[in-house]
Amino acid sequence: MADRYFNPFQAIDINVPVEFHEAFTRYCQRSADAVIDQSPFPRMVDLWFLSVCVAARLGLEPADTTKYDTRKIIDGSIFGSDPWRVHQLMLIAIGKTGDVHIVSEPRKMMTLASGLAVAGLPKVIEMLKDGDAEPIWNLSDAVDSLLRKEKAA
Amino acid sequence: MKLLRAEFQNFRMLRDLELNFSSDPEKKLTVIRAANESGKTTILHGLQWALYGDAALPGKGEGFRLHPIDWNASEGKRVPITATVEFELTTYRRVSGDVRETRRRYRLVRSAFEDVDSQARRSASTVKLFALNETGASPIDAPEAVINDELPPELREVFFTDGDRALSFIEADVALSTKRERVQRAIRSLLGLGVIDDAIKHVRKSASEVNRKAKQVGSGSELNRIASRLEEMENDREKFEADLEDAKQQFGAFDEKVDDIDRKIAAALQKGDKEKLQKDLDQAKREIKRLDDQLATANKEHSALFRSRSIATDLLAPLLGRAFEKLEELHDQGKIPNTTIPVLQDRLSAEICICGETLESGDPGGEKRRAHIQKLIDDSQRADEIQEIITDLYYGAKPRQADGDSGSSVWLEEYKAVVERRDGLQTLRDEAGRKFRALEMQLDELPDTDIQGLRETRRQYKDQRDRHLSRQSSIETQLTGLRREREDLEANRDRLLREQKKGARILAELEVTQDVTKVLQSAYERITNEELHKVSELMNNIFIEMIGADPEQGAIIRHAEISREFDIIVYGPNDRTLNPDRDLNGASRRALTLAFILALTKVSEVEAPNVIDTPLGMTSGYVKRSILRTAVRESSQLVLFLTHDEIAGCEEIIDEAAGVVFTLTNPAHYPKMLVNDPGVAERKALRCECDHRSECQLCQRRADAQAELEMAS
Amino acid sequence: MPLNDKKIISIILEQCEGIDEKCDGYREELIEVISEILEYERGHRVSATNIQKKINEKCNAAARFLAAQRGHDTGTEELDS
Repeated sequence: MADRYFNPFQAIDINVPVEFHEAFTRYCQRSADAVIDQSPFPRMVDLWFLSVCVAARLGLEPADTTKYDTRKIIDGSIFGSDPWRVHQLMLIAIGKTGDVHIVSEPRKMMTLASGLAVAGLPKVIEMLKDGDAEPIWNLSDAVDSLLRKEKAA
Repeated sequence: MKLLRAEFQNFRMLRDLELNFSSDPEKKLTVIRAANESGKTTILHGLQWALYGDAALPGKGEGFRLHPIDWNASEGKRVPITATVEFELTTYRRVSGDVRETRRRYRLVRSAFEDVDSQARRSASTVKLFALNETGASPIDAPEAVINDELPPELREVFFTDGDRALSFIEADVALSTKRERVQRAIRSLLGLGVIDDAIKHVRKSASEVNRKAKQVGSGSELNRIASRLEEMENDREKFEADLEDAKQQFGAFDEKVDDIDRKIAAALQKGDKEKLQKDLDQAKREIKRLDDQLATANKEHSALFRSRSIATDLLAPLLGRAFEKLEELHDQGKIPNTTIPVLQDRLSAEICICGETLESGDPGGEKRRAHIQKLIDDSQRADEIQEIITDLYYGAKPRQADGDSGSSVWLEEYKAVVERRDGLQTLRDEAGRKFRALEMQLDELPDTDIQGLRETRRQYKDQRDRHLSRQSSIETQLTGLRREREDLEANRDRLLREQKKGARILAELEVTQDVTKVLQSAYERITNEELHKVSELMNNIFIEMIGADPEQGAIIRHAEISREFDIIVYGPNDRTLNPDRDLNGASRRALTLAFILALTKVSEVEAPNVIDTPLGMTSGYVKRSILRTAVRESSQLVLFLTHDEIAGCEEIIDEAAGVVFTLTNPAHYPKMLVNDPGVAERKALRCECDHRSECQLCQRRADAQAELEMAS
Repeated sequence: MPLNDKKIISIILEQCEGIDEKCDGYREELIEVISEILEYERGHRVSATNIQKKINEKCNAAARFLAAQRGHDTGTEELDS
C-alpha cells in the first residue's frame, strides 16, 4: 500500500456508547495480571472489531450512533499495529454500501463500522455471558457454532 | 547530579583523603586504581555515609566502627569523623514556553564523633548542605530532602554499586516478590514518579477543599448532603489506600518468610538423610512451575484467537466475498491496472525484457523498447487517487481473501488446537498437583521433630501471607466501589452547582483540579509503562553487547527483558527462561546487573553518577573490554574502582575515556607488596597522581619491581 | 529531582493535549499550573513549605481564569440570544 493510505483511520477516534464501557473494562485485559479466562480480549480494539465482524456476519444493520452518548475509547492509530484491519474495514464498507468510491472517505467508513460495532456489541456480550463456563469459553463456543451454522446454511 | 569532589577525615582508613571526579562530558570516566585493601570499599561506604548517614552503612551502622582501627588514643578519646561531598545539580524549568536550564554547585558535610573503645559509640551525625557561589557558601535547610530527591536512598544500589552486591536484582535466593519490589522501586524512583505521586495527593486535597466550599454554598440542601458524603469518602479513601499499602508489604514480608522456611526444610531434609524425598519434592515443584508457565502461554494463545486475522476473515467471509466481487468487476473492466510497475522497473534496470530481448540504452532496438516500457509505467502511475487505493486494496487483500475462500475455517482449526493444548496441560497439571500433595503427606509423616516444627511455622506464615492477600483483595474491592460511588456523586454535585448562582466559580475550580489530576495520573501511567519498556529494551541491548563476544554464553543466551511485573528474565533458545544463578556465568551475571543499572539511569535521563567497585571482576579478554566500553558510553558520569588486574588489557579504553585517573595505596602493604617504604606507620589510604600506565616511589608494586629486575638482568 | 525535569515536562505537555480546551488558552494555563505544582513539590522537598496552600491558590487562579473566560463567552451568547 502507498504510505499515505497505510492507515487512513490514523486521525479518527473510535467512539463507543457509554453503556458499553463497562463491558470493555470487564472483557478486555487491562494489565498483565488480568485473568484471561474472564477477560478474553487482549485489547479494547479486539472486542470492538469482533463486534463489527459479528454484526456483519449476522447481517445486522449499522446502528445510528448519533442517538447514543458516545465517548472515545480507542485511538484510530491502533490500526497501524494491525494493518490487515484497515483492508477489512474498507472491504466491509464496499460490501455494505456496494460503492467502491467509499474507500476514499475514511470518516464515512468509520461511521459505518462504528454503527456495526454498536449493533454487534449486545450480541457479543450475550455470547460472552451465555453458557456455564468462563467468558472465554462461552465466547469460543458461540463463535464456533456461528461459523459452523452459517457454513452449513 | 554530578560528583565533583569528596574529602574524608578519620573515616576508617581514609584518615585524610581528597578525591576529585571528572565532570567533563567528553571524558566522563574517573578511574581510581587501587589494589585490594587500599580503601575502595571504604570510599564507597564513605560516599554513601556522607549522603545518607548511618542507614547506608552495613547493618545500618549498628556496631560498625567508623574511626581508624589504629587510632592513637593519645590524639584524643573522641574521634571527629567528617565526610564531604561536592556535587553539581542541573534543573530544568519551563519559563514562558521555554525550558530553562540551571546548574548549581553544592557542598554536603556530614560529621560525627566516635568513642575510642571497644564499643565505638558515636554521636548522631550532623549534616549540612551549602550552595556554593562566587562569594562563598550559603547554608540550605533540610539537606536530607535534597539528597533523597536527587539520589533516592532506595536507589543507592543503582548509583553506588559493589559489583558483587548488585546481583541482588537477579539473585535466585530472594523471593520473587522481593526482587520485583526492588526492581519496581528502583524504576519508579528513578523515573521521578515520587514527585508526581505527591503532586496528585496534594491536588486531591485541593479538590476536597473546593468540595468543602460547595458544601457551604448549598448549606441545608441536597448539594450540602452530597458534598458532605464526598468529604467522608475522601477520608475513607485515604485510610483504605494506607491499609492497602500495609497489606501489600505484609504479604511481601510473609512471602519471604515462607521462602526462607522452605530453604530451611530443604536443608533439614538433606541432613536427615531424606535426600530422595527432598529431590522428589523439588522436582514436583519444578514440574508444577513448568506446567503453570505452559498453561499461561496456552491461555495467551487462546486469547490471541480473538485478535487474529482468521476470526475476522472467517466471520466476514460472506460480506467480503461481495466486496471482492465488486473489485473483481473493476479488475475485469481493466480499471485496476496490473501491478506491473515494479516488474517493469526491474526489467529496465536489468536491461533485459521479459521476452528476453535486450533493453540496453545503447542498442537502437533496446532504446525503442525502453521507451515503450517507460510509457506503460507512466500510464499506470497516472491512475487517480481512488484507483490507487482500490488497486492497493485489491492486491493487498487478495491473498487474504483467498484464505477465506478455501471453504474450511482457519479459526476453527486454530481453536481446536488451543482446546487440545489447554485440556492436555490441565490434565498434566492436575496430576502434578496430586503428586506434590502425596509427597507433602509423606513429609507430614516423618518422625523428625525439627522438620515438623519448621512445617508448622511454615503453615502459620503461609496462613498469615494468605490473610494479607485476601485483605488486599477486599480493600481493592472497597476502593473500586468507593470510586464508582464517588463518580456518581460528583456528577450530581456538579449538576447542582451549575444551578447555583455562586456555583460557576466552584465548578471551575473542581474542573481544574480534576484536569490537573488527570494529566498527572496519565503521565504517571505513561512513564511507568513506556519507560519500563524502554529500560527493558536498552538493558537487553547493553547486555547482549557486553556478552556478545562470549561464545559459551552467546550460545545459550538469546535475550533479556524486564516483564510488566518487573521481573528481570533471561531467555535461552526457544524462549526457554534461564535461571541467572544456575545458567549464567559470573561475567554474564555481572553484565546483566550492570546493564540493568545503566539502562535505568540512561532511560531516566537523570544526570547521575554510577560509582562501581570491581565492575570487571570475573571477566576477561574481549568481554571485559566490551563491558567497560559499553558502561562508559551508557553512563553520564562513571567512577570506577579498578584493581591492577582489572585494568590490564583495558588501558586504551581508559586513555580515551578517562578525565581523571589516580592511584590509592595502602602503606601497610610494604614490604610484602610495595617496593618502597612509604615511611608511614599508620594504616591509611594514600593518594598519588599516577595513572593507569604509570607508577611512582609510593605506588610501585612488588610484582612490577621484580619484573623490572628480571628485565635488567 | 530524580527524573530529568525536562522529560517530565515534555510528557506532561503531551498528556495535556488530551484535555478539553474548555476556553481559549485553557490548556496553556493548565500546563503552567502543573509545571508550577511540580516546582512547588521539589521546593517542598528541599525545605518544608505550606505547599497545600500554594497548590490551592494555583488551582484557584486557573479556575478564576476559566470562569472569567466563560463569563465572557456566556455574555456573548446572551447578547446573541
